[in-house]
Amino acid sequence: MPKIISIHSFRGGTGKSNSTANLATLMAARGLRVGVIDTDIQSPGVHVLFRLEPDQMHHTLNDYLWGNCNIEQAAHDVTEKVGMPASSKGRVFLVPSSVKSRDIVRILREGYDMGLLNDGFQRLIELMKLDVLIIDTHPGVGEETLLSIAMSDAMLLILRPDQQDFQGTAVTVEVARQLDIPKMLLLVNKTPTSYDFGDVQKQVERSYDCVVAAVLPHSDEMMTLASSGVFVLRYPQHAITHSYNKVVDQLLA
Amino acid sequence: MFQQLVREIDAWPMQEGIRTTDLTLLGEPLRGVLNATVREGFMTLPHFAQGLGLPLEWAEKVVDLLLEHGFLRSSETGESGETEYRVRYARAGRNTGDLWQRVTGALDDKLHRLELSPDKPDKPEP
Repeated sequence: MPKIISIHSFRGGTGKSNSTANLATLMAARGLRVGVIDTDIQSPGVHVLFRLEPDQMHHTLNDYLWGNCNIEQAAHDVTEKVGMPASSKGRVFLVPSSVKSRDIVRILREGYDMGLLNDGFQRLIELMKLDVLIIDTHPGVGEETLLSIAMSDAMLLILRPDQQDFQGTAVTVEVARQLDIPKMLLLVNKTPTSYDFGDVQKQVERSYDCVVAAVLPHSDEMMTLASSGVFVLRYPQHAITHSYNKVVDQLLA
Repeated sequence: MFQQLVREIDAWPMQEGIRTTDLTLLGEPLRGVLNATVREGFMTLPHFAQGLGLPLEWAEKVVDLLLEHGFLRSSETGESGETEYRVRYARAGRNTGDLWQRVTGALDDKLHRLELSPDKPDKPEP
């Protein structure tokens, strides 16, 4: 049964798109067919991690929402681009959002039919025979992000150990529970290495009454990589990669 | 329960679709049933009846009200022969659209020119 997973955070800069790319890649490495949709129409970026250049995007989510193409035509097979072998049984298909300023402005001005977004997710799963569809969302509580959450079988909510993130995450957890999300996991990211990670996990779990899938450290390697590639492929033996694998286990369980 | 549901739905205006945030404002069992409709993609009348805890004929009246108020749209008959009901979504970004209009007419001209401009790189040349 295909799974829809939303990756969300209340605030920007938590590592949402990076986590999306890393988790999708790890799932594909397990032989799964994974779709990723960048619904962050206002500030798209996950395509950078998958090394899909704007001039290589033959169609985007914007095109689909404007009725210019079917959703599957906007799906780009980025499996080899990201560095996985051509023979890989698992695949990653990315539906990017446009980075052209006029496309972003147009969609903000005109809006779009949210029913199309909903239908698109289902059609993509069916036509591309996806095992998992990951939705990379815009930060904060908005209509599109709430729709993604409402449609998802699981949500990974990412936060940093920061007071603004803590407060905002509480809002999102409450809203997600109103939408009856079947599974919600937290990921505490960019944690100073001086912190006791076990303690952080316990405190966050207690505060939100929600399972913490992983506590990830602030990483100079991740910062230096600077979204130029997928971390788990560059550093397959890194502790962060092992943690991401555990997150995959929990999301797919 | 039936009367409670009727009162709750009638309190909403007639609208052309709902927003996901609207779902969070509903009470149970209506919220649960509509959340399930979003998640499953569609529901049939027997599913609505089960979710609402109502006999079929009462559930049908509730569904008719939901159709009337713009919460749902009826869909083509599914493989099982039942009519499928899907959530009817309002157009996203409509508030943002109003905001653009409210900000300034001069901005509209610049944005219109931007939309009409030919393809050119958004990043500055090194």
